[in-house]
Amino acid sequence: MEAKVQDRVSLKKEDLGGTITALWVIGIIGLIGAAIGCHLNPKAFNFSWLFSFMVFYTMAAGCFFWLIVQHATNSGWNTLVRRQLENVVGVFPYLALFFIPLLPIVGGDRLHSLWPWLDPAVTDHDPLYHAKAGYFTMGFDWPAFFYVRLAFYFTTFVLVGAWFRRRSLQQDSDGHPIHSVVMRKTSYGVIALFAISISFSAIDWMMSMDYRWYSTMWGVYIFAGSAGSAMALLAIILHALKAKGYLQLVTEEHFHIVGKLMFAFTIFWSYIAFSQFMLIWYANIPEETIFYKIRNTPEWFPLSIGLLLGHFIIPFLWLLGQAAKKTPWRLIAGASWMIFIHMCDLYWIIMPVYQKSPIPDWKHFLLNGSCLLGIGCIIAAVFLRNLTKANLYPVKDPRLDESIHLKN
Amino acid sequence: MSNAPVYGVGAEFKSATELYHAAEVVRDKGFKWWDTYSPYPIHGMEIAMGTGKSWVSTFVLCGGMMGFTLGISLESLTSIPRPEFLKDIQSGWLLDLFYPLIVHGKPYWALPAFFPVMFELTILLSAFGAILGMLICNILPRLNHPVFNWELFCKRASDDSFFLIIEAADPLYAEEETKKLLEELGGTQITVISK
Repeated sequence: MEAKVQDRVSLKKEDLGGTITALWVIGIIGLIGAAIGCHLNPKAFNFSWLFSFMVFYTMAAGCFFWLIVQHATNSGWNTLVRRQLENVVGVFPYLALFFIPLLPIVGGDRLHSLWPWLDPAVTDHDPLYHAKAGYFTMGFDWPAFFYVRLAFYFTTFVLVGAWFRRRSLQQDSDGHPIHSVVMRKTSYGVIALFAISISFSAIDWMMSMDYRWYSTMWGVYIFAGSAGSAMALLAIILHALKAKGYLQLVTEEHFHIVGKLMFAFTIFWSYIAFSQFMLIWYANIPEETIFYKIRNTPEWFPLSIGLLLGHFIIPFLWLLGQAAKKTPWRLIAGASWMIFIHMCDLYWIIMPVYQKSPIPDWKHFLLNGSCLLGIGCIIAAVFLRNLTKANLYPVKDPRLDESIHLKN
Repeated sequence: MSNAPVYGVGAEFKSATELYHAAEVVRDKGFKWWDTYSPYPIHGMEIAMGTGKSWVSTFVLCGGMMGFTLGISLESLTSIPRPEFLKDIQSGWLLDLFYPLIVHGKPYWALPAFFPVMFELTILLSAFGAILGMLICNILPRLNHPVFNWELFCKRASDDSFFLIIEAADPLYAEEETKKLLEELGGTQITVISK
């Protein structure tokens, strides 16, 4: 299949100049800052690190979702943009490394403040813990099942993600259509693996900050935020590449679809967030309402309402019209906002457990910044390295022509 | 027949491609009152005809906003106590409208409980708006249409043939020239359709 319009199919490492090196340097400085923070205030570090880790983990998981779901639905429109999803999914090995500071075996007593169920002094006499202990320990005196699940999540994301990327690159060189069929047939089962991984990782790492509390909507809630912000990330990556003179075959029709999916997941997130809130508010059971109680204090209340406004009403109205999806600056503004508000959402989930006020003191502010920069810059560097290692789009995919002539 | 009022001039085309290209030319000539007819939807025909964006979405938006407003006002008005400025009303339907009840220990104006109804009404009236907008934009329902005065059209339009009809109402319409134009475009069976 030959492209009708001349387009550069690859981005050389030299074209990026020193960007990758600069990102590594900033990232390592950030990690050093985070390590100092960990030494000075281990408790604050736990929460900052989990927050920063979840920001990038959820967005990468969202890209994994879009990758497999577009294989499963045999969709043609995304062929031009699929390689970017594969490049983001390619950062998972590094995300797995960034989980190391949160491993109970590495963190030891430091993690008791983050996950109180690790602390025997808290759990020994708590019947509410014993009713759930099997979920964490499988009957051992260490959180065995927690590790089993951890291995499961990262096996799914790292190995399966790498497999999809490798297959797709193989097709770039041999051009055989069988790869598309194999990837499609594999993706059906992988959707189940993904659903289990994103739901239970959200439960294990964030819901378990208060092991007494539970919400059956939790996994879907985190998934909704992940998928929406991943689409926003894709919109930004595509626009950046297009502005630099690459991916010229991507037209406003592709951005229209990306915008529609962002819009859809804005509504989906609101639907799920509201369902979770309303059932808890309505039933009014103390062990359930505790989640909203600590986020309904005078200090946190503005952010709670801010999420309603910022995660639903503002992007809903902004992205409603067709022009907003087809005009580059409007889509980029919407996408940047969605990523920002997704970060606010995670901040709102994680930080109220640690601090009374959403505004951190300057030390904690620096710590948040170091963790975000540390993880973020290295993830970005790995993404850019993936970008330079492969063609910018699957040049020999049988559905490429369909994607180039997309009309919707 | 010759004195009967004329609806327009129609031509038959043998394929969707021919019809598509003919539509492009008619669009570029600047005709406004004309239409194409085919047994199945042709992708991209709205571009070839230059119809522009449909107005249905405006109806949907209006319907949605009406549904939202209806939902929130119905629920709020019936849940809150009678406001101060209506207190001196002694009789009439306004007395029955305000009916404050404490349910579940929640406030009178318990907004979260209202959302499902607001949501459903927004969707319901959006859907009504879509249906109504579609009918209005298509000038439906109607019992008959002048195109059915053309016998060939009745036989083939929903079977295996493609038609383009330019109405006499069009400012650029002139019977002889329009006939010639359709002939040049490859149309056959060119017929003047009476009203």
